[in-house]
Amino acid sequence: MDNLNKKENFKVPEGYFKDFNTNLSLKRTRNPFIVPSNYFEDFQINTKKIKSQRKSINLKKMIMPVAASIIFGFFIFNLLPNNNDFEIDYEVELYSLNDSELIDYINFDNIKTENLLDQDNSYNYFVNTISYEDDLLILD
Amino acid sequence: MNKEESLIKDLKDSAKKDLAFETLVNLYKEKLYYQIRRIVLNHDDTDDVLQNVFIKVYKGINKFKGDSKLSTWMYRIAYNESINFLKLKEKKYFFSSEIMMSTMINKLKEDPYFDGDETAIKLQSIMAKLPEKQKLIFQMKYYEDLKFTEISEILGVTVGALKASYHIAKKKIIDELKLNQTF
Repeated sequence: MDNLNKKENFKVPEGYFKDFNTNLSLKRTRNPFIVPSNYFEDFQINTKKIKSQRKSINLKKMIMPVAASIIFGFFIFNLLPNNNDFEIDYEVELYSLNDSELIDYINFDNIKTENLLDQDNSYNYFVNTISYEDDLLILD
Repeated sequence: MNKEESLIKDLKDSAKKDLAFETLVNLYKEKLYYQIRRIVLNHDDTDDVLQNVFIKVYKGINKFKGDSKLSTWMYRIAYNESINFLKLKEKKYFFSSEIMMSTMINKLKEDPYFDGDETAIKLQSIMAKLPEKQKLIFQMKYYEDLKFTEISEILGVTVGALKASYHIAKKKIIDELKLNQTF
């Protein structure tokens, strides 16, 4: 009988006692997250707001393609057929300017001064390259 | 027709939708809250994500085909919303996920809505080091007592792989905690 009492019939999973303290500390920490008081009682979702959100999203979805197509149409209409008109207008405008106004149109940053001919050089070039026919034209 | 089927039917019926939705919110707000909270950690962020989850449920209920339980479908939305929220936060603050997690865990110490001791914070930081899916599997099983079949539907992982992941995660956590054991 004594031997029977001493024998332990119940078995525990391997490592159970070894991991007991760790498992206990894990269980102690089950839910450390707390919520403000009455949070769940007061929690509600405003379905009317969702519906109005949905409407505005649909509207946005419609506005964007319409706006894009209007802008696209505007550019196509104005740029493609009127391209030449624009250049002509630009030229007419330039011709109508006086010298001091014209100077505002010139971007001096893009002009390489080293490439400009000085007056002596241009005179020499003119004298050396003038033909007989040119001479006659000048005399006229 | 059981309760869930009748609730789904009402949710899809425009005349009964709002009332059914209120019932749905009352049934699941707490469960979903804690599921989200364990991922995003602080209360205010959890509240934002929870609101978004319910809005998505409201808008998307007609797309729910009933292939899984309604709760599983909602868990999946909550899981996706939480992960997306963290990714957006990482982008917003130019943080890597590791740095952001450790920052969030450090903030827990001063968080008035966190009631954990050193072990709880240690547990959070150990979990943060686990691969994302392993961490979620551990949380769903350990904290929420979800069945492996349910977790399988939420995460799209086979039950066998889930069981293996859970045991690996648990072993890692226990081993790490043992290293820091003070009693």
